[in-house]
Amino acid sequence: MTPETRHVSIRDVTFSYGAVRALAGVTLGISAGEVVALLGPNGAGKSTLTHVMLGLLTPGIGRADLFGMRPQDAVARGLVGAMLQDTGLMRHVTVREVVGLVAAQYGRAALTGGILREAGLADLGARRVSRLSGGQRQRVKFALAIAGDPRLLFLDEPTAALDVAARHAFWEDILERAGRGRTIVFATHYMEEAEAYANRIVVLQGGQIVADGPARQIMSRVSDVTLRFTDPEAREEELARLPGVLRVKGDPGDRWELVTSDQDATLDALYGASRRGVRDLEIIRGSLEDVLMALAKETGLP
Amino acid sequence: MTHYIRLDVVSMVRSGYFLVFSVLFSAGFYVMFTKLFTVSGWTSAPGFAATYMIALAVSGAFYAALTGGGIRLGEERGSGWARQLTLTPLSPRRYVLGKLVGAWLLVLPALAAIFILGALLNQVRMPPDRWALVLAASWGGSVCFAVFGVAIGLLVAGEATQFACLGVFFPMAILGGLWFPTSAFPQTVRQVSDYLPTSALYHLAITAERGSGEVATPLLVLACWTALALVVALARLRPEALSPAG
Repeated sequence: MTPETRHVSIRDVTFSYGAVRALAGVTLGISAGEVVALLGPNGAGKSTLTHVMLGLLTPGIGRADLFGMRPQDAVARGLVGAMLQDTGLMRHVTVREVVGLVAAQYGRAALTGGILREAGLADLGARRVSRLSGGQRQRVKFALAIAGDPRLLFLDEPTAALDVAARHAFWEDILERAGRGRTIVFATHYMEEAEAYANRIVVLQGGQIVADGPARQIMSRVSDVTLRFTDPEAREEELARLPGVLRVKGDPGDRWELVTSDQDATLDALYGASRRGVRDLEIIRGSLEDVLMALAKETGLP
Repeated sequence: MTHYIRLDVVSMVRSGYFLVFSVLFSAGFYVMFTKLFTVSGWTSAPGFAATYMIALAVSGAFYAALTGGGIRLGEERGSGWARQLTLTPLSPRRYVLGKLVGAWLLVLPALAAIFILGALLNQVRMPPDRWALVLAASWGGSVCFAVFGVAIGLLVAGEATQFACLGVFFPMAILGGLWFPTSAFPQTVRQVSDYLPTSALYHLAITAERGSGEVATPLLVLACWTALALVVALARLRPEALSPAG
């Protein structure tokens, strides 16, 4: 991969806050057009990694580059836009003024009207920033991040405080940008958003990357599947002997729950051997959330 | 950067808070001691309307610079706005420099308001070139205050900046003799007073008004304070200094 297509390059980065190690040997490369979700529990190192990528923190060991240069230089050249948490807005100004100010830094002040429209703020341009609702403030912060139409966009919890319609519009906009070769890196607590919109998921735990790949691939790492069905004639010992079955749970209503590591073998045996009334079968795959929980158990990292 | 400085100054003037302390506060003192009360040995001195006008203009300038540079910078560092704005091509250095220039520009309306009040209320009269010299001296010397404000804004963040700025403003304004005559102070305090930037700028502006007097000493005092504040500001201006936790 050539340096030009490599938008983010993190090599062996270790970062500590005093005695607390927030990142431990993280290596990560992100290329043009990727939509990458950073997942992981609080304290896993997501914010620290984002700050290192933006040049807000300098790693003690290792190296972070954006577009083959120091993050500060990429920021100075207007290649980067960011929406971070805990970001206040300027006071005593209107939405149009503050978005126009940021657009001007990228030499795009004349395009302020279009930026407001893209962020769903067309009707709020004249409103004082102090009079915005939580969701409106969030949209202003998004407008600031996209004001320069940056080639690399960092978003930390971008859809917090947005309602369903705004969230949908937001992701449409993000996918359109990715389609134009813009690179998006976002951190979120909404697993379904990561699953639906990211084409790559990076899972951090204890300052390390414990999983990195498309959602489907990560979910397949935990292959246990739960089968639920009704069968009045089944007996617990019999079900427990079926191939692949790890656990069996029954209830008085003849509803059974099998956890299997080999769904096909278990289903074959269940239907083949039995003659009888397996009804209302449900196959429940682990959600991304389950996968993260399983990964946490597996790695034993916080 | 001009776009940023312009919006910063406009929003400061809109905030009202700035005008109250930098203009109305000084104007109130001026009216009080030139129109309402007479204090023998002080307000009755010849030329008091003009000298007190200059003292209070310097006081207003000091506060304007502290709010524009210090309070604004500290608040924006604390809220995360400083970080957001410097994640654009506007570098942290230029962001801070813009605050400095903005603070210095905000000094002008504070000075002008008190000078106009002096001319209208007490018929303070000077030839135009003398007025220009007084304005140039007081505004030029106010660079010291602007650097001061920026240094405080880089040392303290969030709401604490307001208290830090007021904690610097009141003692320096009073001990510098901007509100009351220093003749009321004990001898030791009066000696210290001469070395404060507030007192130095007052003396410089008085020299401009009279056409003669001390120049070198107040300039040297102002230069020393400016250098000190500049060193503090530069030492604090690290890459992480503009992040809320930094």
